[in-house]
Amino acid sequence: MVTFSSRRHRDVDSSRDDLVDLNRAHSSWLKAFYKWIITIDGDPEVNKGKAYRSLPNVSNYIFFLGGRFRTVRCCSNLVIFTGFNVVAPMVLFSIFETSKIWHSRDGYKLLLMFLYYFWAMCLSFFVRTATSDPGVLPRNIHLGQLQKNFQIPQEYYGTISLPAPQTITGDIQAKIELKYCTSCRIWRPPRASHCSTCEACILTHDHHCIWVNNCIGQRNYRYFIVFLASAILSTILLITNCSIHVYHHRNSPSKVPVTILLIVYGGLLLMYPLILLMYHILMTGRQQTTREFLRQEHTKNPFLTKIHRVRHNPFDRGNFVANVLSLFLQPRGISTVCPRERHDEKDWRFISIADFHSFEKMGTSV
Amino acid sequence: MELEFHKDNSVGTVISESGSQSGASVPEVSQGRAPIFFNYHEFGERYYADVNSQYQLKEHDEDHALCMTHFPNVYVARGSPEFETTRIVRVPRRFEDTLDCPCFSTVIPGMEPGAITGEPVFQPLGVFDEDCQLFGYSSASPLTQLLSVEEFQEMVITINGFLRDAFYIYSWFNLVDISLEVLSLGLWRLVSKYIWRHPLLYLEDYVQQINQQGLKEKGLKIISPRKSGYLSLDFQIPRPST
Repeated sequence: MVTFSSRRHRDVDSSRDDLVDLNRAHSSWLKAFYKWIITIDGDPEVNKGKAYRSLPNVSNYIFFLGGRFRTVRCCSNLVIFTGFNVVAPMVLFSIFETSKIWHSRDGYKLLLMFLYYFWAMCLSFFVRTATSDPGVLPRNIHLGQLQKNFQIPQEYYGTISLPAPQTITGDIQAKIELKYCTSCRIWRPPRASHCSTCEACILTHDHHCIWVNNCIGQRNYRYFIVFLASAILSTILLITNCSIHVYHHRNSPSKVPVTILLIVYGGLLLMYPLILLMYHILMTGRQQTTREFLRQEHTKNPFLTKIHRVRHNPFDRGNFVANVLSLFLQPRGISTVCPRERHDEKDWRFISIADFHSFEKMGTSV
Repeated sequence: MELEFHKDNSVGTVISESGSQSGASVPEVSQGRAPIFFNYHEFGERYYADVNSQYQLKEHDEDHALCMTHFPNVYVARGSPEFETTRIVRVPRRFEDTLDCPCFSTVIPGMEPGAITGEPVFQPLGVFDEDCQLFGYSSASPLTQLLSVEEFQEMVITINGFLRDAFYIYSWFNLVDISLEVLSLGLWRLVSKYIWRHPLLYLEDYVQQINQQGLKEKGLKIISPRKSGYLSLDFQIPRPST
């Protein structure tokens, strides 16, 4: 009897354990699914599995759908404003204009198709610019030593100059300046820079764009340019389509108020991408990224600032068109910290090494 | 204790600490002299223990400063057996040839124009760092004992060739990729990897191949350049011993 009851007891116990296990498995499965949908914070203790779970430990990125899309931990909501302005005019146009133009002789069907094509391009590349990898560089690749909490050697501070291609051909003032990133612990390649908003070093860093809440770097610069160009084209087509419609009703414009509203809206929307694209063409023509241009001019408000050619610029190809193409078409390369790839346990790239060096300095000098 | 160590003057040119005011005004870089290439991963240390002194740390003079030529293996987990038994020699990037693509120095570490000369091969003379690593006085790294100059050059030149092809702006891959991407409204990216393999992946294949064929028996390994972000070409070497 005793044995029976104890066995029964054990059975109940084990089934309860099973249930707990099942619950735990269920909740961990739910948690994993939730993390797959959106990963806001990393867990510093769990440094294994896919990189989208570990990368938020060392950067400010948030990942969606298993690392397929990313954004930066909310600093500005302007990206929503930008998205609204991409979508809103087309929603208005589709409701009030499309069927009228398509079914009447008030406009041209071909122009309408072009408008939708370029608008789709604009939306697609807006999403792409905002959510793709700008060229994040891995962390902790160039650790100097282990002692004193990975103290950074004296030689790694400051900027070093190395010979550039022009140095060999005689221009001894042309040089490549390299800096060691004390946050990422890497020797940054030329033109790469640390973005303090994203907390990561970005390849060929152009700027951190608040309108898309992402950096613009080597891996999404082409998307950014296509986004600007298609935004301009689709807005021009929007204005054209609406203008033709208004022209057909020129004797009674009060019948087409939304069409007139759309022309005004389009005119306002056209300004910003147009000015920005002009700037990018002129800057890249002189072989400068936005970051280099702003540093050169010592200004935070570049509007109406003349773009000067930098002397002894090692990247300069001496030809405006070649310069523009070299930056607009720059190869993307492959992602060096791919959020969808698995990595081994305790991967150094996802460990945040706090900078204890300055404290130690203070402690020893006292 | 604050360590003051300056490399020989010929080793590159160090500009102002802030570096933020570059641009129109050239800082106090020596106007008449062109910069010289050197391995910027190296650093010096004068407070260390001599090899035969039973780990007695002491200050040394400038002529007896250690030159760090190998570094912790950050590609394996800390505390793993591999971490304890291996080190990394970093081949830096060089910029004289091209700025269009990552290009690694084809000079074996220790033979660069701005290197600290001394013994031509690695000689362990001092003990430094938490896990008691051995270092010498010159820029010659332990890699010189394991690999001949010709072997090294052949490998790095091949790797640079792969990189040059993959980062060529007007390559078919890049031009077709960008035009299809734009025309298909971004849908090309979803299928491109099944149709046209990225040229940089051939470099990964090559590195894997030489790791298995030539380098394995020497105890060497080249770290996948993708993993090191093309920041430096990293050779995994066995931990130096006396």
